[in-house]
Amino acid sequence: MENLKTLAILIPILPLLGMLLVGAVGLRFLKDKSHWLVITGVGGSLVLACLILGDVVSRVSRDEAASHVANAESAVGSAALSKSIPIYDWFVVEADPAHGAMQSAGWLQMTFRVDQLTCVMLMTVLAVSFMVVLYSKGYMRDHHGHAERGYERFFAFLGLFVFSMCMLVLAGNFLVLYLGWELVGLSSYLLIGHYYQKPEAALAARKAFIVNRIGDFGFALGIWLIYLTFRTLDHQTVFDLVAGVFNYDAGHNHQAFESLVHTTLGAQASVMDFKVLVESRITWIALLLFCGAMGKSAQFPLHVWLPDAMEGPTPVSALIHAATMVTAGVYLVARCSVIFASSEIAMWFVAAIGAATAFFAATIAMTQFDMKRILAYSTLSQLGYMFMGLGVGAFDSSVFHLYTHAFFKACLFLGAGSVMHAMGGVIDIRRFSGLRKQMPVTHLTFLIASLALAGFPLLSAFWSKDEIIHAAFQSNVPMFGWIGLVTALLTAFYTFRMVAMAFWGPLRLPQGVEHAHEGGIWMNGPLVFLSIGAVLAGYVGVHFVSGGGFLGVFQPDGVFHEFLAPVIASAKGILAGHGAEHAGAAHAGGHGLMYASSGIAILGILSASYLYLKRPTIPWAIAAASGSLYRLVYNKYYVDEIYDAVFVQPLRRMGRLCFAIDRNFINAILYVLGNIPRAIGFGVRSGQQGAMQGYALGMVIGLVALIWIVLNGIG
Amino acid sequence: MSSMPLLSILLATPVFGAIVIFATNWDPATIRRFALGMSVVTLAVAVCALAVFMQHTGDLSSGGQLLTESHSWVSSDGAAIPLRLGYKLGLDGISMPLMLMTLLLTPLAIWASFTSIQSRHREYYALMLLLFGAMLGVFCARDLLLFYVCFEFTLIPLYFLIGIWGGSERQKAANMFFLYTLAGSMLTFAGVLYLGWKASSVVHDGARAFTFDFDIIYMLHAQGGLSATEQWWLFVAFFAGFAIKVPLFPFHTWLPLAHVEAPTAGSVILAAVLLKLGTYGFLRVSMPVFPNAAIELGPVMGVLAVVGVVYGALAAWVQTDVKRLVAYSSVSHLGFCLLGMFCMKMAGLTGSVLYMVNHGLSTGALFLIVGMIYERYHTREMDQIGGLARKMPIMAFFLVFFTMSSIGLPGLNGFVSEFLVLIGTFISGRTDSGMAGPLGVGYAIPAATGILLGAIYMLYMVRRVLFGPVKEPGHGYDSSGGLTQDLTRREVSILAPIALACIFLGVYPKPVIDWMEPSLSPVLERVANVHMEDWHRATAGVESDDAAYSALAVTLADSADRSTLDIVRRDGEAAPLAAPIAIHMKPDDSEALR
Amino acid sequence: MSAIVELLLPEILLCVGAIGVLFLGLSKEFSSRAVVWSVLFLAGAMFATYKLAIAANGDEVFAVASLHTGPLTHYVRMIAFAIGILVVLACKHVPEAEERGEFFSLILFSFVGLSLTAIANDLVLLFLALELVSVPTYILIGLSRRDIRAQEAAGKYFFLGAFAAALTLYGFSFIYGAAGTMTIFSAGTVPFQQGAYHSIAEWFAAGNVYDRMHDPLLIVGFMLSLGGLAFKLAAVPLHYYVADVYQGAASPITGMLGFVPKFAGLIAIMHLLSIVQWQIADSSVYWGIWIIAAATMTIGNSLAFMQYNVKRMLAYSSVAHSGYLLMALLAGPGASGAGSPLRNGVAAMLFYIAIYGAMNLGAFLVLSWFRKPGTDDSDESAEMLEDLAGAARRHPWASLALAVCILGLMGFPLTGGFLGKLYIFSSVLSATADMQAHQTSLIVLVVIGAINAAVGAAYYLRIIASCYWREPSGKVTTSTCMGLRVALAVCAIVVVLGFAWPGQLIRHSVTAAKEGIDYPRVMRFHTADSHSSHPAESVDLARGRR
Repeated sequence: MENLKTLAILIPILPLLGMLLVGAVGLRFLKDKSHWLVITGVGGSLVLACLILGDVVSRVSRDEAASHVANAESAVGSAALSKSIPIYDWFVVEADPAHGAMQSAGWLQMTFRVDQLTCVMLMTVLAVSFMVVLYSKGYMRDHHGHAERGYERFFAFLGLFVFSMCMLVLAGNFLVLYLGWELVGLSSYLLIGHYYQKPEAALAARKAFIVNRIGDFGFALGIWLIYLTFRTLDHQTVFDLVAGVFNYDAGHNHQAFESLVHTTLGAQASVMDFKVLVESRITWIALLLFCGAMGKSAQFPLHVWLPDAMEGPTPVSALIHAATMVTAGVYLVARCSVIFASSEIAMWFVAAIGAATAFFAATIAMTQFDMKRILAYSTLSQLGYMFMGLGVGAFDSSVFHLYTHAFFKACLFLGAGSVMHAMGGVIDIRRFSGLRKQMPVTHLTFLIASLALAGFPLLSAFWSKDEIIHAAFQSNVPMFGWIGLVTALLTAFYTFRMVAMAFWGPLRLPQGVEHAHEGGIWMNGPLVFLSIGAVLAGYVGVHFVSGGGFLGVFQPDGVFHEFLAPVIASAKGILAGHGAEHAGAAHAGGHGLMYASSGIAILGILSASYLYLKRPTIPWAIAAASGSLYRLVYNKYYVDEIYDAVFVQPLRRMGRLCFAIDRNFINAILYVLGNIPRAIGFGVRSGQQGAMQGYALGMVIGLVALIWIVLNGIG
Repeated sequence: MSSMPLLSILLATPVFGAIVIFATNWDPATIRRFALGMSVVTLAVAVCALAVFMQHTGDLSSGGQLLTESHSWVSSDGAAIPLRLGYKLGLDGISMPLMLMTLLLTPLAIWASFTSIQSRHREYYALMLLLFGAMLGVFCARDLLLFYVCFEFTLIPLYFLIGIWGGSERQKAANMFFLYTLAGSMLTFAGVLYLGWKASSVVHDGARAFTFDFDIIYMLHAQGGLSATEQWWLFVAFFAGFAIKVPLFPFHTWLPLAHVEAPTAGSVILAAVLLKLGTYGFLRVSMPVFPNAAIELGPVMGVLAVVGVVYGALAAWVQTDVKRLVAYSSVSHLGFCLLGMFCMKMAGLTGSVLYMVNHGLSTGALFLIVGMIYERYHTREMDQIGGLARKMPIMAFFLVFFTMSSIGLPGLNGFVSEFLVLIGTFISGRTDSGMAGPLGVGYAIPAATGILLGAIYMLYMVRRVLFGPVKEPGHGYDSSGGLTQDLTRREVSILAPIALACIFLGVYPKPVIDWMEPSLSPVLERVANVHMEDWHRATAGVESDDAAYSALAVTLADSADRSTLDIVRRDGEAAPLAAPIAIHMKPDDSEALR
Repeated sequence: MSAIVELLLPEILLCVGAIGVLFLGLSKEFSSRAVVWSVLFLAGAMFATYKLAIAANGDEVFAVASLHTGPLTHYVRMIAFAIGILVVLACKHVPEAEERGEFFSLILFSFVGLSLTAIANDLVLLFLALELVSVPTYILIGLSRRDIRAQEAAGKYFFLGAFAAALTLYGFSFIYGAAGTMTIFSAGTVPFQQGAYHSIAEWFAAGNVYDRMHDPLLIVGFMLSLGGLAFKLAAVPLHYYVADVYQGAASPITGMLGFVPKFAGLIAIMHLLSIVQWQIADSSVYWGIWIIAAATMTIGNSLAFMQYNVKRMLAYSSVAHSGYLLMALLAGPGASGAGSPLRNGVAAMLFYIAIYGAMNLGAFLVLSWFRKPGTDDSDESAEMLEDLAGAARRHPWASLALAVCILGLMGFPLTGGFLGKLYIFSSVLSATADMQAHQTSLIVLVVIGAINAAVGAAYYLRIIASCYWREPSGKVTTSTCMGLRVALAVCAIVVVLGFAWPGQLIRHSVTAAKEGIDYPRVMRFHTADSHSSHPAESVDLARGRR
């Protein structure tokens, strides 16, 4: 435990330290060598994450060994994983005034939690981060190797991001999760706005933050609702309570549940009332939490910020807006799988949003010409897959897809960055083509990653995406499966549309670029590493069987799923209780689907290559023929414009109205009130004419009136 | 306890400095250094006081105070009811954090004035120090009259600060600020006197006296000295002074004007400290002394606070003057502060006090930064400046930092207090953690939109000021005052301590919260007692109410209509304005919501 | 006989001094010493008062013939003479050289009148004392400036004053008609005889309070004399003259006009009210005073609100202050009798008028100190707001003194004016306990007072703002008079001390208030053997001496 705690504290601290050192000494002394501080920090964290992974794996295996010999005492290793690791007391929420002292229970603590899911996320995040940091060292320079303006700042913020992301992943309660959640939002804001002098970048940064805040508003409400219901924000306690409630009727272990209720809510708490309460609120809790996930993972209708976020430097797009931060929503739902699994409505909603986003983003990606935007919509689409997977109960598959997606999507973005670097900032695929010869490494890695994205058999995404589609077909709403398949076709198509237009065909360079060249070892190294990941990463999720599987050897559900199984076990249990037949059934079977999706992927790839290489006129003709539909899709369904008209402008008008009320109404009232003395003064001044006789008359009248009043009494 | 009259020394130091500055005829540089020196000496004295305070925090429990001093000011013994006007000082967990915030910000504000004030140095620094003393006096005072005297006196220095060193409309602003707040506090004055007179009915140590001692006034309620009607009217009288000072919607219109016209240091102190005098007054006087009225009018306060949160935020969003934008943000933020107070939950109260400190730090710093920009470009119009991150990267860092603090980024100070206030409001209607407060979910959700709107208008400002292409008026920045393009070392040293305080309070606010709790719980206890009484009154003769209640709770919770957040048994909707106390909750906190 | 001489020693001293100074004026050579001698005589009178107070052994009250002295008398004398010294010092340069003798002797006479008002135990003497206050001021106004406006002011003041005096006298005659005697309180030793009363107080005490307070003769007499005295106070509805007269007179004399007649009028009203043992709660007199107080505050402040002439503004503000002071008298001493000023309106009034004297005089003295900008040889004191513009830049100390006095008038903390308002308002609030029937109206009066205080702040601020904010419009020149400077400094210091160290003043005001309250009570003690809340203290209060 101590070991875990030390490691868990060190992991976020190292990048933070890197960032602080850049701020303290980097800006002034190291200047364009500042990257070393952050590279060291992130690299260090990566090493520590490996250690943590080793620790967790060894605990699990020890427990397995112990369980074989039925030695309960030694089976403590992995049990500790579901406990929060308290770091320190953060702030206090409630105290009972009757007791006159703070109850320690009232303190919200800074807690971490290290379990299998954390390990997976940490490894993914830190591996990709490390690659991206290395890549940035080469990317954030011009062709002569001179650092760009704001180079140190960029690395400092990368450090901040890695710190925040680690906090998010390590969080042991909802509050710390929220902390990491908002901090990654901040890092994202700062990094999108890296080229702050470009108005688009500045706008995009603000938009990203605010759209995220809209999601976070729901998220925060969800956290409050959790607190209102459970009187705690600790992950495991909440999960146990929810699991207890929804397994109650199934009838196992009432005693443990009741004692947990009493320790959390007080000895007098009535278990049945609590059960009713939780049942009535769980859907709201899940939906509100999902609001946060929608914001961060850019799901429809809160997706609008992600394409704009491509205004940030490409490494940022690769790291934050493809591989790590945007998957935080997926992580959240997976982490809270118990809560989501307890509400059918929420599950359906998650799946529906995911499916809708997957399809709708893919359609937009078909029409775009900006490489990074295509990749951004593709990211939206892939995230949609993940949510669809979560929504149909395939939590492990979604996390698996998250993990594989990180590699190939980061690779794609970095490849796009490489192209952009070579093209002098141009990223519109209509303005160049045929880069294959001049940028062989980029081409190769990009191609591999594209194949992975397209779901080409045996590459990483093939396994993970297929699991999700399979689970969707198994669910109550097989429609999701069909959407998944169609989207897979679109994915393969738009990916190879991009590859074909950019890398294949005759060589064409934008004006002013003489020669496209590779970015050097700092950029190519990470590309190669990530492309290897894109090929091989999927195999941790596959069993090798002798006969019967896909191509006779491959069977879904590998080490990865086994490793994650304890984390999602209780969610699976609840789903099983709901009678969802797909839940317990893992991913056995479905080889037919695998063949089908392989076919679809290959079909998409081939048709795109054919259309854009051999008959480039056809797509244009189709676009022209579909007219307004094409414009609708090309303009991203006008979501931004709708938001502006429906929310932004009315609110601005409200603001102007408020300000006008202040100036014209409230101040007018004050003006009137303030002038009452003046009015009285005007009234009585008429008596002050300066003539003595007038004064005397006034005096007499006044006195007579006074005496008359006094003699006749008042009222 | 220390034998030194530390608090008196604390109050006397700046006042002494003010007198010296006024009486001598030094050159501006000496005056500046002396004024800063005196404020730092004050800070040093406060550090001694803090050391003593920290040693004895255990004595804070159940409303105790530390570093107390008590001297007779005016007394006439021998009469049937003797007169005892006292000079009584002391600190508790509520005043200490506010005091430290004042002590941190005022020297920095003085330091920030070094370049921005170019005329009439003698008067300026004397007034700043005088204001410093008066503000400290408010927080130290343990006597209502002394509190009122200091509360009121703060108007004078600020009146001059705005009126002499302010912007183009300074005279209008200063007059409006002074008269508006004075008009309110004159009614408060009548309330103070009535309270003092009522306090002469309190039997303490077997005797009665005409006094304004807080300790005696706090006994009024326990001894049944104030009827519900009296409490209602007194609450209104104190409301007049405090609400205008806070300023609570719709009494806020003086604030944007005053802020825009005030010199930088004036804005800083106005936002950071003077507005807090109002909220502090609510907490120090209105809630503990008129608990019945506080509960009864709680919904009204809640509605005004929530409206203020949203209204201020929306109005801030459409401003083009950075300073007015930040001023409107104060209206929004202080709405939160009052919301936390009137939810009458420990979480809310703690959050509210923290909010006072945090708002002081972050908004104070924002005003400092705006002042630094203004010194260079002589404009605050966002139409005329833009893209300053390019020209002033260090300033940009601080501006973004304090923006984040202001919009409640977790890890920085604003978040802790915002979270506490909102959670306090959420749980306000519940009985299972002490007595139910008058607010609830119906208030919390609209208020929570403030965290969203806050991000919108602050980032709008940041984008326009810092990002985009560089836009400068005329010939770039004004270097006449010896200023560099980016922040000077002095300016960085001014902002850095505030930033550190923001981080500290965001990451580890425990020490401060530990002080507050024992001082806040007596306030809550008084409110709780009211509830008990009202509860018994309301339920007298009603048998088996508990059973009926449980049934209702289950019905509600199980109701088919899940479209509303039926979070509390008690309707979470906003109670009708000024309705009589709708006490439907159980007095016994063991009977939690099941 | 010697007892009377001894009792009246300060007044006699002053009269001698006044006549002496008058004679000094005859000689060109010695007239310049008029100020010195006036101050010396005033100081001598103060010393004599001090001696008398010591000899009087505390709270004892002596009534001899138509005089009575006691703590109240001592208090009034001390305050009056102290302010008198300041006025004389400040007036050093006001009169023409050849008029110094009469000028200062008139000032002294006026102050003699003020102290006699407190001593008078007879309506006739009271009236004479009041006239002695006013008559010299009619002339002083005319003498103080060469300006035609001064003559006009003097004329107005004289004619309207005569009218008010007639009213007062008329009112007194009604009271005489009701009681059959002119003596206010009787010396206690004389036995009471059926049918003929030795004093009005005795007459009142002999009957049922309700009947007495509904005796139309008494009520009409009361209201008429109150009306007449309202002129002295510059209270509504006899406030019309104020601005013209104050503007016409030289500033130091204006400062004196704001204080001396007001104080005298208040003492006289206090005498009248103590005759009826402050039992006005059941009577329409309560409403009479209530209306006057409320109207005076409101109208005074509203009129001042309109002004940009500082002297006229301060004149109307002095009207408003009369309202506050009447409020205190309305509250009366309270049931607990000799309580603190917080429960005792009379003590509050006595405290406030002392502070008011200093701050009012101080404000006018600053005006006198600043010369009207323009030609260098202009000898006119500042009058308009513009005349003060930017004064703070060149004359920080004088401006500070002005700010202190103005803030005092505003009732702002850290000045005695704040404590004064505190006492007055809280005495009215405390009075709600004694006058159950009037609880609401008393609280309303306080609220009106509080709102008025805020309104007052609005125009007072203009003075400060002009002084501190505005850029100098011309060259601000100042008077060179040392006496003025000293008087101004003393005023400002008194205003601050009135807040920081008010203990002595409060103690004396409380003791002094006791006389106005307990004296009639004692009469009742002798006649009807009624209760007294402090029998031990008051047993020998009414003992005639020798």
